[in-house]
Amino acid sequence: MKAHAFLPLSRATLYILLALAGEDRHGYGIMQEVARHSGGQYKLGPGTLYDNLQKLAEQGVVAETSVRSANDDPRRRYYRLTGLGRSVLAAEIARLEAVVREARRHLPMARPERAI
Amino acid sequence: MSRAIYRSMLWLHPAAFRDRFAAEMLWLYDETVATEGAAALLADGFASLVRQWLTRRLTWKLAAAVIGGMLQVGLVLALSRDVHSGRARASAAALFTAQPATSIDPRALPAARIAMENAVPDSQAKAKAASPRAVPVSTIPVGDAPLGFAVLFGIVFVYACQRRRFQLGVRSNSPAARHLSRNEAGEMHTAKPKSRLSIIAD
Repeated sequence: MKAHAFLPLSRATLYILLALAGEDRHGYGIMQEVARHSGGQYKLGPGTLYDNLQKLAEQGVVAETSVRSANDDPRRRYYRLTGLGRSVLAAEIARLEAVVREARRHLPMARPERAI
Repeated sequence: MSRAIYRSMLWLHPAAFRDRFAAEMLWLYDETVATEGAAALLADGFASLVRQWLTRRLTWKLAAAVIGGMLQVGLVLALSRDVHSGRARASAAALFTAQPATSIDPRALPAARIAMENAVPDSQAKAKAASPRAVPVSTIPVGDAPLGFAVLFGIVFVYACQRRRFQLGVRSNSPAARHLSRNEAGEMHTAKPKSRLSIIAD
């Protein structure tokens, strides 16, 4: 399936994919990374997180990994982005860039002010 | 107390989801309840519960499709009976002539009149009914076929919708977003309109 078929992504999905873009993470790690990426403005609850993870896993965008550290809680599961997931995230970022470009073209006030 | 409620809420999730994620969700609850607050986590758990049953499960949609199909067939059969009896024609004529339907005699309407003129007298009809070959057309049980088709159509339709939603991950598509949806090569690509269910799933 083409990555563009998934666009535009929901906010929760976008933040989850962003959190997994750097490295494989478990659920709590994803929640913390989402809070960090959004500057604390968007906090993902466990229900929303796992609901989205289940859907993304069914779509083949993320996958569960078997990588665990020795001192990990056995209840923790790690997730990673698949190739399709990376394509989806790249396509969404390209789409958002186009949105920003278009917004700047139509809204001159949104441009950064020049230093006098 | 709040932990027990959250645990009960997890137990109410669909079995597949519960078996896979409930332990980790409870662990996350324990980790975050001090910072996020029990109320926010309970609300999130409840939203997850609603989403799981309403948007991720197919069972209730199949049931709705079957009931909807049966209602449609019932409506069609009821209308069909009305047409044969001339009542629907009278109702339609009343609509166009602004007369009450009860004041119009169905026999005055062309098709109904022809049908009544060709009708067999009661004595002949009874004689025909007595013979094994004489099966009146109106007694053939034609209701089963449309019922089956309607139910089948409903099931296939809902299955197709569900499958497409899961495969495409359809999301919001405001006019502005649609206008701006271009890939890096500048080609336009269209996205599907946002459904109510996908809003809930956000």
